[in-house]
Amino acid sequence: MVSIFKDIEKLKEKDWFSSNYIPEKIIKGPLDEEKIKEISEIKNEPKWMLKKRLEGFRAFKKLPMPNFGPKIEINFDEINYFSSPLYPKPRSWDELPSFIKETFIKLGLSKKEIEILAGIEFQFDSIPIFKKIREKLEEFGIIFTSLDEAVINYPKLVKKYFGKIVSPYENKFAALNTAVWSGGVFIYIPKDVKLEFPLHAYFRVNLEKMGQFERTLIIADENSEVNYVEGCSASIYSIASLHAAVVEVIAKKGSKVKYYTIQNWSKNVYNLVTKRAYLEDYSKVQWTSIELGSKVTMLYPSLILNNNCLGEIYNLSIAHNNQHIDSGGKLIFNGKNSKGLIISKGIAIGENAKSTSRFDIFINKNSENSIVISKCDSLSIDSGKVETIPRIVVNENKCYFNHEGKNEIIDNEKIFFLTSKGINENKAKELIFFGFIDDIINYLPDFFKLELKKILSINLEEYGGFG
Amino acid sequence: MKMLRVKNLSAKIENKVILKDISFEIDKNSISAIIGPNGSGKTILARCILNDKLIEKSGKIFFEDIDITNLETDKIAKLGIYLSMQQQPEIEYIKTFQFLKYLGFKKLEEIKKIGEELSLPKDFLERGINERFSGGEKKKFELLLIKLLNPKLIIFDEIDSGLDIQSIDYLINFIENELRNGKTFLIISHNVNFLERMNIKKFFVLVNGEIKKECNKEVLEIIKKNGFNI
Repeated sequence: MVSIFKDIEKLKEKDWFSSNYIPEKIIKGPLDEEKIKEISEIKNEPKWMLKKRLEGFRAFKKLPMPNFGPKIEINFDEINYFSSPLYPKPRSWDELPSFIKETFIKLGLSKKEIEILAGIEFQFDSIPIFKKIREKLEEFGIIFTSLDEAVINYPKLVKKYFGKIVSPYENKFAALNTAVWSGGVFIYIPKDVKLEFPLHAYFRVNLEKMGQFERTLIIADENSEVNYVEGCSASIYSIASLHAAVVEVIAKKGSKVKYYTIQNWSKNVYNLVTKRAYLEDYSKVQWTSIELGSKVTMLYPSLILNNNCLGEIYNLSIAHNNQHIDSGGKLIFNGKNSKGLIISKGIAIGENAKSTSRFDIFINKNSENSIVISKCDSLSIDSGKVETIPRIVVNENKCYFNHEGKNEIIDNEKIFFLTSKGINENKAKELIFFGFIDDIINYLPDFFKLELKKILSINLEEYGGFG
Repeated sequence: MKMLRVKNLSAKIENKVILKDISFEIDKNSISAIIGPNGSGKTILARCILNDKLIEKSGKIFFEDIDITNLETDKIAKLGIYLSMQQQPEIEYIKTFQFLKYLGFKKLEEIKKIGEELSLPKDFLERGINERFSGGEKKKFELLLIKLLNPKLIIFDEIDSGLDIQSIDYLINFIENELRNGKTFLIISHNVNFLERMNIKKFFVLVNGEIKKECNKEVLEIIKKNGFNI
């Protein structure tokens, strides 16, 4: 109905970006140690970081492709592993592809905001709100910077934690990220500091936050609190076909971290992300992800829980047309008296769409009094495929766990019932859709709900229904 | 002006011919019935009137002289045709009160009273549409919707199945009342005993996708004796 998909098709033909985007520096595959050294040199990194990169590269070579989930066809020899600048900067509003413009307009963003998001206007220290936020962060001693800068400016902190939560041997794509990472965010919240407003990646648009191999490291010191929002509801067109990001969160004793993601990459991208948080005693971490974009996504945010922790994972995946979103969550109990919660909603719209919910829960020996509640619902619209694969491994008798799953199919009978009562077909689908995601929406903070509502009506329109 | 006119209607589902060149008319403020053996195409005929898009059809259907043949289902409903489907789906993710609100009925207290009168489950408004309803409760919920939507033509596809004797009495009373209020009914049923109890003006006997006969109440006696071999 609305032309957003059509535009992407056109874009493929015309190769809009490649004709406009001339990076100053590109390092292309096949990847070898020399090229990794070059990346490290360009970034003026200390030796220890190069060592970690090379270790990552060795792991990458050794590790096989994932033996589960969606089909991944990547020719590693043809990937650009490093480019500077990471993203093309259109010189004017007119140069933006129309699907991006359309999305921006529908989001109700002002021209100023559009220019920032589009990467046109980079002078944003001059925008009062951003300046205020920065001053406030400095006052608290909070570090909020790109990880690239942090390697240079805060080497002790980065060296101590980088790769400790997500080892390069975790999986092939985490290994690749370790070898060639670039861009991403570093956050450090000092002891006892409780930040009352969410840190949003928007505040630092000039970070190369949308890197192909971005890497995020968050350290919440004892009894601190922070909420971080990653991603952007506007559809992001990427020239790169592979995004392999890594996120590591360290929640120290008594701290609280909430991490929100909206992923809306264009439909040509393999989005293979490893996210993991380590919870020290009495800490709380919450992962919330809304997965809308990409061609293929594999993402299972995981939590390692010690004593008396609370870990929560909320996931909403919407795959349509030719997308396959494979997501869910992992809980690993290594301590006593901790609680874990996973709620996942997977939606597939259209015959070639697939949504997979994959749960992995390990209650290890001696993690007495662990409590796990996991719930996974899926919704199929217009013959979309949905599947759920829960796995619970229990090695401790004194614990409680449950799993609940439901599948809902919107078929002709339901739609005919509703339309024959006078409800328009698109509205009927929309009512079921929003009813389905209602309970997960209730867990989201208000600013996120708003963002989501905007983006959902846009995406649903794109799909051709739900007007 | 006739309430409903069906002219030369043929219908196919997945290339299988279900209805062959059907024509009939229904008078305003009357009860008509479609009877016939299983698989004769009664339900498909009812769904053709509401333009179910899974059915491929030719011919014409007029409602109060408006050509509704290819109108979207919701628009046909809004003109004043109500179809009570043979089987009501359960729609868990739309709460009944939301559904009713969306249809424009906001006085939930009044609706609750109607629900009590119909002996629907006490919490029916908070449940999904038809969620955990018995067969009979689903039919009763249809009656509630008719009371609220106030349509002109009501098509009942086996409304009597799943209802106990008491509820059948209620239903017949309901139909008689609504007839006095000027409504028109098209009733699809197997149940001769049920059909006998109403003042039905026209019977259309549907066999193998064709209307074999248009007749009056006497046909019920023949069916009782000989089945549909008439």
